[in-house]
Amino acid sequence: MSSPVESFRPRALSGSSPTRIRSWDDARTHAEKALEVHAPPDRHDERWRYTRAQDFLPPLARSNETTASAERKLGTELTTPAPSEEILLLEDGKIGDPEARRRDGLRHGVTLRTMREAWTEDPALMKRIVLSSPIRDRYFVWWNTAHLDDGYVIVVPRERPHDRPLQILWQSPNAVVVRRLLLVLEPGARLDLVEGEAAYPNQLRHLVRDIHLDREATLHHALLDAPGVHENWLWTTGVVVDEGAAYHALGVHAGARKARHEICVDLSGSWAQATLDAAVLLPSKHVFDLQTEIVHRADATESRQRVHSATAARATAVYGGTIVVESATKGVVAHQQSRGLLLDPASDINSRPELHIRSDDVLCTHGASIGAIDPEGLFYLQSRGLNASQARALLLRAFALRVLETFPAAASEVLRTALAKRLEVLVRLLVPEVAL
Amino acid sequence: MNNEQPLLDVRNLWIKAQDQFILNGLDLRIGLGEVHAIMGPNGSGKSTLVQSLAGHPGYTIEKGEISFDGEDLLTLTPEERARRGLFLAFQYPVEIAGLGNGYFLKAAVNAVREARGQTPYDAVEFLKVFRELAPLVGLGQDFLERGVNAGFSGGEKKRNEILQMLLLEPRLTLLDETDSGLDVDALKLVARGVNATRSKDRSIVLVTHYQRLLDYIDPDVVHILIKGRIVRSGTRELAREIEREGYEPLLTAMA
Ligand SMILES: Nc1ncnc2c1ncn2[C@@H]1O[C@H](COP(=O)(O)OP(=O)(O)O)[C@@H](O)[C@H]1O
Ligand SMILES: [Mg+2]
Repeated sequence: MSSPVESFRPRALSGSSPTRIRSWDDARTHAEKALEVHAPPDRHDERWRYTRAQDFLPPLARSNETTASAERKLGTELTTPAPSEEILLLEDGKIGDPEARRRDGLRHGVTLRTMREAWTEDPALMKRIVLSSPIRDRYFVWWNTAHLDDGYVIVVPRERPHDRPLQILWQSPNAVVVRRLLLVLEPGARLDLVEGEAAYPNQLRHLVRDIHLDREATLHHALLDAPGVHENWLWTTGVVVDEGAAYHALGVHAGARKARHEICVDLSGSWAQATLDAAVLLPSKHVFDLQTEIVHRADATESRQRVHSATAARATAVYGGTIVVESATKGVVAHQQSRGLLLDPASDINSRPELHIRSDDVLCTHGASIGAIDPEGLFYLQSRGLNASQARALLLRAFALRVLETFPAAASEVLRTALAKRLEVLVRLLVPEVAL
Repeated sequence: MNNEQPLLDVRNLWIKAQDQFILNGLDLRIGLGEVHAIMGPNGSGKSTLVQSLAGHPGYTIEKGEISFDGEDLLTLTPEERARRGLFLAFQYPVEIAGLGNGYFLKAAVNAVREARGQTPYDAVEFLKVFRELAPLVGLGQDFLERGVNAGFSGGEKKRNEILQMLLLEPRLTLLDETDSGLDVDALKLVARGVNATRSKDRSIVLVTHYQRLLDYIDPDVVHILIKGRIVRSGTRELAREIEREGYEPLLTAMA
């Protein structure tokens, strides 16, 4: 079996080396060539057993229904701004309002540019990102580049006050949406980012994020998807974490017809840290496939992953968690834990840890458990007067909210509240399906 | 014991768990306002009795009748029993990490209040009641934020059980070894909580291994449960006798 890590290594493309990319057009040409040479990933790849490449390639079979206002609402309510917050609204693939671009979110030296602009104005930065991105040789990243009109580049300097979260709501009713975000935190910068996607029925959505955290930078990242049973979406996220920097992500997911998040974190500098936590709460028939990869390349790097998945009838939750510890690294710590709660016996939770440890000086733990609702917990709550469905709802809520308990305390209150609210919404969506 | 209809009436109860009889024809009557102690060696079926009374689904009632306040208890779900005023303080309270204690307590007390036709507490009212009751068992407000029993010490778990009893105002309280594993100070706090609920329309069953608890809570009747049956009933003096001589003489007599 070929290691998935090997398969991420760049392969030579005739006449097109990423080192020659000098502009946005070069990047697209390179991606187009790559797509000619490489086939989409197939099922022989362990990480593509539950969702398939075809799920994310247009055209998707579509029904004629176009309205699902309930779903639409769910996507938008989560980022309803409070006046004190900084909002960046990306609408229809464009920045909603040029005035808002200056007014909200982008003060304190934060810059927002399109990728085309960034290649012209700061090619050195763009080149650095392209060459170091841990996801640069993935099929769907090339696909994204080749099909993208343009993307966004956000650079956050150290001066920006970190107690003000930035909120991004991606919103477009188009049938196929291709998005790209490059986020750079300069040395010592701190950002709390709440990022959500609005759902439209029968949509196919692609989002690629490249996140670069320079020395001592910290990003708390709340990732909120929008539940919709009639859409497919794929997120591919690459994160480079430099010396002393920290990336802390918590995803709250309801999945979709087919939903997948690949997230690849390079802990490239010593003392770099990463947290990849997720609460996956899937209503009936939803699918969510989470594939993480954390590569410890430097000494004293630490990672922690905690994934809690609950599934209603015929839902499928997949978690493939890969940890790579490169040779000659010292003092690496890596923890991975996954817990599954089958709300219905006819649902499916798959958890697959994969460890590639090439160093001796490592503390690595991993554990996975899957079960139904604990009958002793249920009886305890019933013996206090709660009926069976109330008791189940409380146990589900507890299971979901636990991921929030261990999320780094340094995250701002706004971010924590956004996550907690989202968790409550998804628990409420699931409760009718939990009550037998 | 008074002659009126007892609050709890257990007749000829036979209970099985995993194909084994644990209770073998047990009889027990608890009158209104009475405090009973049930003592017995480990494994004699004390927890099985009280868990079954609360409706634990893991036990099969093979034979027998249980009436609670004149109603057939065996037809009721665990929550219906709780709503009618039956409360079990667990020997091993269940840990539910992630569920805030305050959230849980409020949900429980309101479920019971609504069933009784009382208006549910809002957040402010609940907090007021909590502040009145929590000090009785030595618990502070920080305790509302913690997960239900998660990471609690043995003593904290037992005090949490008593606090729930105080909040739910049951008519029949079953305390399953609430005294075990407690130091003297914690024991006094628990006893204070229990004594605070003693009244002429509330009954209490103390399941205990030692007579130590009875120094603080004075029972009207003491029963000895051995091998799934009540083998002797008496006054406090019976508990003292057990304390002096152990269960050996009783077990020998049964053999
Ligand atoms: N759920 C169960 N399944 C099988 N055996 C049980 C179960 N519960 C209790 N028992 C057995 O029944 C006997 C009585 O247990 P228990 O009621 O816990 O006693 P006590 O509380 O008096 O110590 C013990 O032998 C115990 O192992
Ligand atoms: Mg016991």
